[in-house]
Formats: sequence, C-alpha cells, structure tokens
Amino acid sequence: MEVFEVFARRTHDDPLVHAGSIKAPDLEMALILARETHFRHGEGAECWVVRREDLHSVPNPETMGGVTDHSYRRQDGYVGVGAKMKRVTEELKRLGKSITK
Amino acid sequence: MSYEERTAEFKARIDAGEKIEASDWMPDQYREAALKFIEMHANSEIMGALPEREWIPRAPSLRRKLSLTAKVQDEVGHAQILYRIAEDLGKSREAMFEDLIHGRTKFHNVFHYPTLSWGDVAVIGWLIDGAALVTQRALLDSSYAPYVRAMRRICAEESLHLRHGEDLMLELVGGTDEQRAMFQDAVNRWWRPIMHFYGPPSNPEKDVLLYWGIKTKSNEELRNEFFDTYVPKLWDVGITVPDPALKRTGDGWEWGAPDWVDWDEFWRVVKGDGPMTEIRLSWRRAVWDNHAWLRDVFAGVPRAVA
Amino acid sequence: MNDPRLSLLLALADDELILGHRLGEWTGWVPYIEEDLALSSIAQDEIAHARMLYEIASTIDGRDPDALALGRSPVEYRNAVLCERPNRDFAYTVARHWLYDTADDVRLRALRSSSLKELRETAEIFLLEERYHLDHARAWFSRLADGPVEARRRFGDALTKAIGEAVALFEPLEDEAALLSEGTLPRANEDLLAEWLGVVGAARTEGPTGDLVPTSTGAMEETGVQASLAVPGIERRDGAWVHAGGFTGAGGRRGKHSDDFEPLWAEMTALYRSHPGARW
Repeated sequence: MEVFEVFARRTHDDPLVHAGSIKAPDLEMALILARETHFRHGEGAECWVVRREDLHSVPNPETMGGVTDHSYRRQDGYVGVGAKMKRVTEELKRLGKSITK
Repeated sequence: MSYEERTAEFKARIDAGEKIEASDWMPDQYREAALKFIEMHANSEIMGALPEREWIPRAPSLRRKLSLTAKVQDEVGHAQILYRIAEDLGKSREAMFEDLIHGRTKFHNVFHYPTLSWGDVAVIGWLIDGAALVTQRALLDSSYAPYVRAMRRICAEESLHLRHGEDLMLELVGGTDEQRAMFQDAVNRWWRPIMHFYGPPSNPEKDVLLYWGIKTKSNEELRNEFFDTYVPKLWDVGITVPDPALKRTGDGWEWGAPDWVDWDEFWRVVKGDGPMTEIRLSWRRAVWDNHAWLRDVFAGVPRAVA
Repeated sequence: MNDPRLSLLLALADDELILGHRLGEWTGWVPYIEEDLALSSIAQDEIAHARMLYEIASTIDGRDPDALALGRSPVEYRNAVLCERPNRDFAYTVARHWLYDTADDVRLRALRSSSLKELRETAEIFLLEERYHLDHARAWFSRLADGPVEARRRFGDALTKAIGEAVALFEPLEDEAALLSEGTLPRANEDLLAEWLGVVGAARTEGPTGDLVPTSTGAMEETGVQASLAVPGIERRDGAWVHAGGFTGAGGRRGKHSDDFEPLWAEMTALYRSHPGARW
C-alpha cells in the first residue's frame, strides 16, 4: 500500500487544491478510490492523485519572496503612487500644462 | 539548543497561536499526546458507524435507507481522514486497527451501546452527532494544523448529519403516538451515555491536551454548550430528559443527580465493558482475520501468474 | 400483476434493491477503509436506481415506491436469486458484483431502445453511474484473480458459486412475449444472455486472469489450478460459450426465492410494515 495525495479542482475555473490523502495498492486503484473518499458529495469537477513520494517541498520556504527589501516587486512597494498622481496632476494643472478639450 | 530549550520554544509558539505541521519538529510528549488523541477520535468514528448501520437494512423508507447509508459512510470517511493524520504522526493504520480490535485502545463511550429502535437512530443522528459537533467545533482551534484542516471538513459533514437527525426526530415527535413514545424511550436510554460523553469533571490544570493546545475547551464548557443548544429544543417538542437534576441556573446549567449520574458505568464502558463492546469488536476481529489474504493482495505479495 | 410492463420494471427494481441492500450490509465493516467508502457509494447507487424504477412502476401499479419496495409479500418480489445471497466474504462480494454489473451493462444498453420512454431515459442515466461500477469491479477482478495464491483460489471458488445463479439474471420473464411484441423489452433474455456469456468468456481469455470461468467438462483450462467447476447448462460450442438447458438458481423472476430471501425480507420490511401509513 502507498499513500497518494489527492487534489481537487472545484469548478473548471479553479486551481488544483489539496483535498487529502488515501492509501491504495497502486495507481489504478488510487484513481478508483479517491473519488468516493474525497468527492462523493460533489466537491469537485476534477480529481487528481499523485504518489506522496513524488510530491516534494522546497527547502527553506520562510525565505521565499526574499528577506531583504524586495518591496519593489510587490504592491506594498508602491504605496503613495495614488497620492503622487493627485499631487502631480494638480501641480501641472496649476502651471497650465494640462489639456482641456 | 538543548531538548528542553527547543521544547520551551515550541510551547511558546503554541501559546502565541502558531500552528504545527506534520513535518515540524515536535517534542515527543506533543507527538504522543496528539497521536493518542487523534487515534481515539479515529477509533470512535469507525466504531461509531456500527450502532447506526444496524438500521440500514431495516430503514422504513427508501429515502431513509439512502440517507442513513450515506451518513454512516461519512463516519467511515471521517475515520479514514483521522487515521491518515494519525498515521503521519508515526503509527501504521494496521497497528492502530489491531490495537482497537484487541481492546488495547479506546473509543468514545456512546458507541458501546445497542440501538434498539428507529428512535435510537434519531437520537444518535441528532443528539449524539450534536454532542460530537460541539467538541469538534472547539477543535477547530487546535494547535495541530492537519487536525484543524480535518475538523473543517468533518464539521461541515456533521452539520449535514445534524439536519438529517433533526429531520428524523421531527417526523417521530410529530408522528403517531407510538412514534413519539419510540423517540422518548430512546432519549430515556441514551441521555446518561450522552452526559458521560464529555467525560467526568476534570482538572484543566492537569490536562495535557489543554496544555499543548490540542484541545482548547474543558469538558464542562463543552457540556454546557450542548445543554444550551439541545435542551431547549427537546423541551420545545415536549420531550423530557431522565436526569432529575437538570435545570438552568443563570448563565449555566445544573445537572447530574448523584444517584443517577453513575460515573462507574462510564469507566467500565470506556475500559471495554460496555453492553456491545465485545460483540462489535469480536465481529471486527472475525472480518479482519478472515481477510488476511486480502492484505496480502495490498502488500504486493508476488502474483500467482508469472 | 396484469400489466406486462410491471414484470420487467419490478424485476429490474427488485434486483437493484436487493443487491443494494446486500452491498449496504458491508458499510462500516470492510477491512479496507477507502474500499468501504467506494462499496457504500455503489450500494447507494443501486438503491437509488431501484427507487427510480419503482417510481416508473408506481405510475402503472398505483402503489407508491416505498409500498412497492417494502410492502409486498415475499412471493411478489421478482429479483434474481443471485441478489439475495449473503455477502459471505469480500471474494464472493467481488465475484457477484462483477457478474451482476457486467450482466446489468448488457441489459441496460438494450433497454436504451425500449418503447417505454421513461425506461429508455432511465437506462441512459443508469449507464453513467454503471461505468464506475464496472471500472471498480474489473479492478478488483484482476487484483484478486491475478493476486497471491489464496486470493486467486478464493476468488475462483466464489465465481464458481455465483456464476450458475448469475445466469438466471436472464431467466425469461413471466410476460416476456408481450414485452417483446410491445418493444418494452427490445431483446429477448436468451439473446442478452448469449451476449453476456461472451463478455464473461472474454474475461477468461483476454484478461490477465487465466481461466476462471468453468468449462462444461468441469476442469480449469489453465495449468496449475484445478477445481471442479461444472456449471449445468453452460457449454462451449463452435468456439463460443452457450447456454443449453435449464437455469440453476432460477425462479426469482416468478417470485420463487431461496431460503436466504425470507430472513432478508423480514429484516428489510418489518419496521415499515409494523407502522402502516406512518411517515418517517
């Protein structure tokens, strides 16, 4: 018997999400059993299985996204742009540089 | 860092509300406490299927035959989820099952009793699932993350069972005189085991499960929540409970007349001496022993055909 | 039962109800939890199918579906004897499941051409769920037949026990002539049986299982595994399996059941019958 991890796609627009695990003697049996273990209430449009040993997690996940300042590649690096938009537009208007039609 | 220092840091993380994953380092005491608790919960689900499944063959309508089968199937499903989590903490499903059927590990008291009528099916579906749901909702705050995820799914399914149980109860209390009597009789027989379900008054200071955040509420808190939800509903439909001492007191409840509550029965039952314990376990042993050949199929024993 | 359509509808419905009832007895007990869940879903499908068929029968008979399912006397049930047999062990359960679902597949595909519209449409719907039942049955068939020695022996024995009674799934119905002329039953049972025997025979030669279907000489054709498996009425003729002669385990379609039926019926119907008119 092996452990198989089971994934669900809830509707056709959704990503695959982990639903749980099952034990089965082989892949064909895992496919047959996963659906009644995790999807018999209509929980998903698709059901996927993978052997647990084929699922690998990346080491040191706490450093994902960077540890030093990488805000330039996230939304929080651009706080204040909205206010800047307002300030610059008003200044240019005041200087007569904006176009009105 | 020494083991003690790592353990202290681990405890601090839990107290701060952090969740523990299966792959995290854990002190042995945490791992063993979590495993034992989840194993007992899994045992209770697989044994919990048995009282009600006796009425699947006897269900009085096609719709109830279907819904009762689905409900019992869900209990088996909960056992599947919980045994998988327990197994990932470090004990095989086979070892857990062998310990269960040979009486070496425990399961909840309520599943050691017989179901004598369809009234019992309604009581189990409504009051016992309701009692379990109170406990399971509290476990949504557990420190052990895989258990929390399992509880989310289990609670969702139990909420459906509760509606099913209520539906059964309403047909009985609103039905013929015989049906009402059937339900009242079942409540009379099951009320004490339900009271016992939350366990005897315990000392929260000494509770290992509360210490590690695996459990987050005390037995008394859970029992009071149960009373708050279900006693008014019972009284609304004119059903009495056999505990002479039960009454509201301000915010809480008084219950458990001393000559009625019988904690000796509780201890006897959980130690394996309930009315149906040996019958149900011996059936499980018989099926298990008769299917050793099937386990060889799973174990990849070499095929008969070259 | 005057309307010939009832003898077909009740045979189909009773097969599904009684088999579903038996499969449902495994819920909570299967010594493999994920399989317990799968088998329980299959049992629920069978009961749900029975309910749909009783609903059609109800429009002709007048009694409501629960009254048809739970309110008749034993001699009025038209299921094949195969369905009422106890589950025994997992090997017999799989053997019966495979035999029944392969037979049901042949039957349902024929019923897609029934002149009875509701039955036509219902057969189409059932086939969608039956696809899973067949996948499941076939997966277990090959794992047991191709498995360790004891699994193979138990499964072979179970197929032997079950196959004679499985043939009687195709026992002619009481009003078969009328059903055929009206087109309610598009093909005769004898014809369906011949097709099904081909399916069963093919599993013997094409599948990984070797010969687990008995020959009329009673020997297993594959080397190494011997068993006496004579099944009356099945012969190999001109390279095909044929049915010749009477059915063992026959009688179900005329309400004649085995000793296993009455205890099943008593348990299944007691509560319903003891509270006439009650709602549950």
